[in-house]
Amino acid sequence: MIEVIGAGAQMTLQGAALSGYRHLGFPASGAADPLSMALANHLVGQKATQTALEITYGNASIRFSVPTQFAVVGASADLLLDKETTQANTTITADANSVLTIGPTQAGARLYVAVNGTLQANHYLNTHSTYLPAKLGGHKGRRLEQGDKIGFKTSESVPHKVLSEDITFVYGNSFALRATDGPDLRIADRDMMYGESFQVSRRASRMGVGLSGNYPLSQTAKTLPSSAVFPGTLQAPSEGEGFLLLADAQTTGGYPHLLQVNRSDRHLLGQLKPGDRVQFLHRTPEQAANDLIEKQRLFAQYMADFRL
Amino acid sequence: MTNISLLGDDCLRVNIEERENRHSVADHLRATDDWSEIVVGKHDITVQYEPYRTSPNDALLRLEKQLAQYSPLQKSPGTIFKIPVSLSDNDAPDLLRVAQYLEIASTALWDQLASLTLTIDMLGFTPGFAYMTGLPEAWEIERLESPRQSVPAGSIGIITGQCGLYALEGPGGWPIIGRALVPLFNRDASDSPLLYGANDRIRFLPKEREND
Repeated sequence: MIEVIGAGAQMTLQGAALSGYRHLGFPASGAADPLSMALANHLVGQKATQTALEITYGNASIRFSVPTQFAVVGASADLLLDKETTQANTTITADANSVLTIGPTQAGARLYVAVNGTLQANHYLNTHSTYLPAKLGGHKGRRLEQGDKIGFKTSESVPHKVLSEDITFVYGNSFALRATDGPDLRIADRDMMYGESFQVSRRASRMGVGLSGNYPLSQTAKTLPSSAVFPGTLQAPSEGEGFLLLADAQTTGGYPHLLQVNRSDRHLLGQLKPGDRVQFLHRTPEQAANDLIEKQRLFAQYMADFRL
Repeated sequence: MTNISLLGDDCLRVNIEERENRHSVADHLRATDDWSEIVVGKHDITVQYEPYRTSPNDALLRLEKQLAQYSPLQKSPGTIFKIPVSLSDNDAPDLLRVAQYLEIASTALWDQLASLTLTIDMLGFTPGFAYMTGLPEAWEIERLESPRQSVPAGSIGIITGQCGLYALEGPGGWPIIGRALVPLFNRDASDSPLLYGANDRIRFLPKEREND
C-alpha cells in the first residue's frame, strides 16, 4: 500500500491516454506529460502507460508500506527518502515504511512517481487514468488527499537503471514548441504568431493553460461553428488570453484554432506553469512528421512500447 | 466533397455541410480502421492519423480515396430512443424559470417538448454530451450567467435552437429542465459506452411531476 501524507496541489493516478473516443466527447486524459511518465515506468521495468502518480507543483509526500522500487521523472524538485537526499531519473529502492518527500517544483510543472508493481485504480473505457470532471477512473475518480491509501501489488525486482543523458530533460522557464498552422490562422498573421513570446497565465490546469500576449486582432472574441480540437490546439482569445489545450480539454470548440503544437513536442505541454514563456517554432506537416520520427527513434532505443 | 485540408501535423479536415451525410461518411471512415480518431463537427469531419506510420500526403490521398468510395446509398437512419424523464424540482432546477421566460406553463413546455423527435447533431464539449436539434424556433433561451461546476448525469439542458443531454456529470452552462431516468453511460462498455450516437433521435417521456 502507498499512503498519501501530503498531496500537494494536485495528485492523481494516471495511465494510458484514451484513443478512439473523442467522437463521443471523451478527451485523451492520461498523463499531461506522457513522456516523463513513460521514462519513470521504464526505470522500474513497467510498460510506458503503467498507472503512476502524477504530482503537480511538488510539495507532496508518500509512504511506502513495503520495500518498493520507484523512480521519479519530470519537473525538478528536491527529493528526500526519509532524511536522505535522493535522485530523480534513476531506480531507487525504498525500505518498508519509508517516506518520499518531494519539495516544490523548481522548473517544469509535473513529476511522475512510478513504482515496480501495480497501483490499484478504477477503470473506465480502456484506461485507468483519472478524468476528474466526470469522476472517472484513477483513485475513486478524484484527486488524492492526505490519508488516502492506494492499493499496491509489488512485482519481481528489476535491475537498477539510470536514464541516459540523451533522454533526460532539464526544464527551464521558457519553452520553444514546434507547431503547425491551425485551420483559422490567416497568412497575414503567421509572422505575428510565430514571432511572439507568450506568457503562461495563472489559468493553468489539466484542461489547458492560458497564454497571454499579442494575438491577431482579426481573430479575437470570435466564435465559429464547433469543430474538433486536440491537446496542443491553441485557441484565439475570448477574454484577452489564448488557451492552449492539454489532456483533459474538451473535444470540440468554437474559438478560432490558430496553431497546433506538434506531436513531437506535445509532452512538453504538461510542464508549462504560470509565468513560463512560450514561443512557437513553425513546422510544415512534412517537417513535423520527420521531427516525430526522429524523436520517436531516440526513445525507441530504450522503450519499445512508447509512442509520442 | 473534395474540400480536404491538412490540420496541424496529424489531422485532416473535410467540409461536409449536410448533417446526415457527415454522420454516415464518418461511419464509413470508421469502418476502414485507418484513423485513430474521427470527430464530426458542425460542418466538418476531422480525422487523426499516425505521422510515424503515414506521411501527411499519403494520409490525404487515402482520405480522398475513401471519400470517393463513399456512396450516399449506405446511409442508415439513426435509431430512435425513448427516454423517460424526471421533472422534479431537484432534477429540473431551471424549468419554472425557463417556462416563465417563454411565457408558457411548465406543463405546456414539456407537452410540446415531449411531442417532438429531436435529432443528435453531434457529440462533444464534454464526454457523452449530445447536441440535439428540432426545438421550436420561437423558443429563445439563454445560457446560464454562471455555468454550474457540476450537473448530475442525465441532465437535460436547453438553449435557443439546441437541446443538450449531459450523459455524465460534469460542468454545465445550459439551463436544466429535466433529467433522464435511465443511465446514458456505461463506463465498462468499452465498445459502446453511450446509449446513443450521433445522428440518433430522441423522444422524451416526462413522468408525472412529483413534489419533493
